[in-house]
Amino acid sequence: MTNESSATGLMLTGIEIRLHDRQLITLSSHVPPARVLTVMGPSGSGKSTLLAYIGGFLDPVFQAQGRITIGGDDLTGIAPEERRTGILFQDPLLFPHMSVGANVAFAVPAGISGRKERQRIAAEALTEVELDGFADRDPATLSGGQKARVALTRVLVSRPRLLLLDEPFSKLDMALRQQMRQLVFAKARNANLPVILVTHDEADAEAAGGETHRIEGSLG
Amino acid sequence: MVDVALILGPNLPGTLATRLLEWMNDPDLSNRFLASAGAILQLGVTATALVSWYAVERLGGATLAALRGRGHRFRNDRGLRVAAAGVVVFICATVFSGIGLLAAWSVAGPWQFPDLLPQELTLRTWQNALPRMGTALTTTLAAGILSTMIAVFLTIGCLERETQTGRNGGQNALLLLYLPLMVPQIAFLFGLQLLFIGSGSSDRFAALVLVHLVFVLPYVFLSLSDAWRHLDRRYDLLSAALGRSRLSALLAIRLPMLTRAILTAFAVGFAVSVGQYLPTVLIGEGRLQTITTEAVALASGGNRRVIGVYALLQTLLPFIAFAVASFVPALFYRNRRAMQV
Repeated sequence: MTNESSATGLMLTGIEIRLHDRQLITLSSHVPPARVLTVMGPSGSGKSTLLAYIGGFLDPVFQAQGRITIGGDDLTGIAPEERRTGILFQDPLLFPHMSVGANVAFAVPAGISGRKERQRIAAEALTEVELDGFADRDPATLSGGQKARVALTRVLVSRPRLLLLDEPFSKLDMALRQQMRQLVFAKARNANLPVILVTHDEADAEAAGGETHRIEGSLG
Repeated sequence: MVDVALILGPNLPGTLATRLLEWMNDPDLSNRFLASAGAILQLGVTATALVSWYAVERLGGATLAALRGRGHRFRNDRGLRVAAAGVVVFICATVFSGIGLLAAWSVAGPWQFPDLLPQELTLRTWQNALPRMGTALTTTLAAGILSTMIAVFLTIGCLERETQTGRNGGQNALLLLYLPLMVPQIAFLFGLQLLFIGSGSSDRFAALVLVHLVFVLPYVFLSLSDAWRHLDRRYDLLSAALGRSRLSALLAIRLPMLTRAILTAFAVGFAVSVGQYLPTVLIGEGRLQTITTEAVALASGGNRRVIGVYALLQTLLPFIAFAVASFVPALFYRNRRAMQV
């Protein structure tokens, strides 16, 4: 790996996360733009703590060290809201008090301050996932697949520098799961984002197609 | 509960709490020592009651666990269930018929003994009483709204701090917060009264708001903290990951999502403030009247019509607060299904 390539993409150097005396994760890796690093492990193995550490919201009961850089910029130690790490959880977690459009507009970067402009960007982004005309809808009235697409749109509109996926497909039914995998990975590739996918589903890892890091859970 | 004793048995020998109040207000200052000693005694009595209650609870828990461990199912508990429901129905019926009777008295014209209903209904009592209630009503509303607002702000501040640091104040902080609810009012209100006098301040209303705050805050905290902690923390993480500051997440996500819980906590706090009798009497030194102090003062008098008006109003104020707490979010979020109850 040359210096040039390590300056692009996500570099994880000497990441180590422990809970008291138990070592959960040790990892060094380079995830180039538009590539996926899959982290596999059983539940209880602490694989989600890796995403929490990268996102900057690791619970203080864990001790963690290691450097995170993205495109050459050091993220270690800066506030979560400064990191621009897009994250998708198991649940779409749409804000229930906002319309679908407002959910997406909430994520438009602060630099764009006009209300109309933010709404326009949100509506346009929704069109790209075949949800045109959904801006005024109540999120609670959407189907599971539609909610997942809104969540994805919301993350992408915030112009993240990398994407963290915390088992985002595990609650979808089989047919939908396949569709969402393709959509998420395609969008990440288009946006040139390095992706870390945490999962216990082998099919997820296959679809992601990148390097796989396995961790053994002591809780098995 | 001084007010209950005053209303139910104004002519009986006073309970310890009412005697304490008499001694405390006695012009003979040496009686204050007696009052202080009495307050300590009251504290001991309450502590004993608390410990006994806790012991009974533990004993009951252990018995049930043992029975459960032996595989008892108690499927034939119909009689017990009916009896328990009966007790609740009886209590509710008593309370509501009491309120109904007061309502009837407040609009009653002449009403003599053998008649089941008043001879005529009239609004005269209300028309006479309402103009005279102006000051008491204003004091009640102002003290209630102010103390509850301060309590809600403090509670939100504490809980937001908890969300940010992931640590709560721990058991000791909680104990401190609930102390005013466990220690009998009569045991420490004299202390607060002395503190107020010693402060040299003459702003009686500010003191009233602060004293109400002592009792309102624990209830507001109790009422809001569960809902706050149960709101999925991933909403906060998500909003930070989207580049939004903590303040923005609080204002745009947490507070709107918790609208109902916050308004309910507000209603609870307001109801507590409206119901305060002893703190209001002691700190107000008889110069600040609220609907509650007026109602208790009138209770020993014989005018049922006026009592009816005051008691109804005293019931109505918290009711309005709770109604607002449930209707406003329902109206505001009528197009958001996940925000309905």
